[in-house]
Amino acid sequence: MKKTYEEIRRNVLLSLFNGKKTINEISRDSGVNWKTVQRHLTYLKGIELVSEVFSSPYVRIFDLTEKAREKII
Amino acid sequence: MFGWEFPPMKSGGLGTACYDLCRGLYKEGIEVTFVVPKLPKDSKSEFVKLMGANQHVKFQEVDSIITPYMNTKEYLEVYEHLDENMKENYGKTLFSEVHRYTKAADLITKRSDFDVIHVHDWMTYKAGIVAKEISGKPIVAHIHATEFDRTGGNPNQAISQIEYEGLKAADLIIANSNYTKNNVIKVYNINPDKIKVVHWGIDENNPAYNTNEVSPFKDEKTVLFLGRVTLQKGPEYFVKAAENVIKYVPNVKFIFAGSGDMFPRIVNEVADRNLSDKFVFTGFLKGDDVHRAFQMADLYVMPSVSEPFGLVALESLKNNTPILISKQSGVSEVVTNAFKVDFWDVEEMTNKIVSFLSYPSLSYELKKNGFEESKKFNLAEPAKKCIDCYNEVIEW
Repeated sequence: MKKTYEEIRRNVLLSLFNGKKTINEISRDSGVNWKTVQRHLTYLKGIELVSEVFSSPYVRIFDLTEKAREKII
Repeated sequence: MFGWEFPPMKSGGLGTACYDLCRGLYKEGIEVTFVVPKLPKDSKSEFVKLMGANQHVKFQEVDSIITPYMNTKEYLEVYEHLDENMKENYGKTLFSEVHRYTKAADLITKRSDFDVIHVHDWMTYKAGIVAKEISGKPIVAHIHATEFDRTGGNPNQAISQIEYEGLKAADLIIANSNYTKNNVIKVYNINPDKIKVVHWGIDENNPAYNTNEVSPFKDEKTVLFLGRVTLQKGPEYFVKAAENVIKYVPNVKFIFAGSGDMFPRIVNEVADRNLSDKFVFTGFLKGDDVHRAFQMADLYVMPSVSEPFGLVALESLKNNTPILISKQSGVSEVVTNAFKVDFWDVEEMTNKIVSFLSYPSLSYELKKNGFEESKKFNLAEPAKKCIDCYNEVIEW
């Protein structure tokens, strides 16, 4: 069954709860397609639940913000 | 130890580096099982017989068509030329081939006994991760070249991902220079404390260093380029410098030794600049021919855009041939008696080549001091440092 936006974003956030990750790692953890994860990360960044802690042409690393951690807990 | 090349099968410096490391480790009493792609049918027994130290390196073959410097396009070209019945044996893409290698590594790990997993470059990192999951043993990830070095800022994202995950999963990383270490930190944000620097050495007892070949170009000085003809090695800067040098030193020959994706472009560029009679293209050289080429040359130029280490520069010094090397290289950290230039600075490269060719006292001093300096490099030192790394992860 197709996942809803909320389900996908929850999976992405839960994946990051265990530590910083790349898009690839989040995709593997959450079972969500790479491109889809990337799009949802952009949204989550926009609402300050996720931050991009490192960015280079080679790798992008994301982490939860404090706001997100408080919400999850 | 998971690797891709082992002489005589080699396409670049990785094979030599792994071979020398294994020899050095053996002399220090370390037993190595080296997992390699398939060797030619007769090479295994000959090789073991010829190289006594390597009788104690156990070979386990994994049938593969990848070479360490392949990109996805080159892999497809090789794959398309396979016989139809052979194609069934290989992955249809570069990454499926890496996957196949990783699967084979799974089986090999289950029937092997070892203390440490040592992996060389991105194609073996997944195999190392699998081996760790099965055995629980620590991984030492060796980084000989990053995707940054190979592509100059235009990375293949999938390769970068694999490279990053391998470095992240490693218990300890060995970089072949501070230059490589800094690149790994810069592009992958890896903790600097996790990275140890082990500079490469050379086999000081190789008889090929003493063959004293003489240049066939009696009345001309010779300047050598030797390496893969690809973006990373800066061959176009060599050609540009050559064009300038000839204006000041007309009686010079440029020896261009190597093959690679940029080779046709370089040949055309030499022709476009009307330098065809000043260039000699030898094609890919291997084995003792490499040493002969160094010995015939008056000066070796390594204009690399990004060179993680640059073992060939040490080989040149050991062959009594002075060097002009890129500052963007690992070897520039450990060598004093050498000309060093920024790879893009064709004018300075020209100045140094012309000075070398024009002033015998300068060339004599550089040659003498460079050769003396080459004596400080050997196989024992890098092997001992790698063993220190092994002991560090085993003790954790």
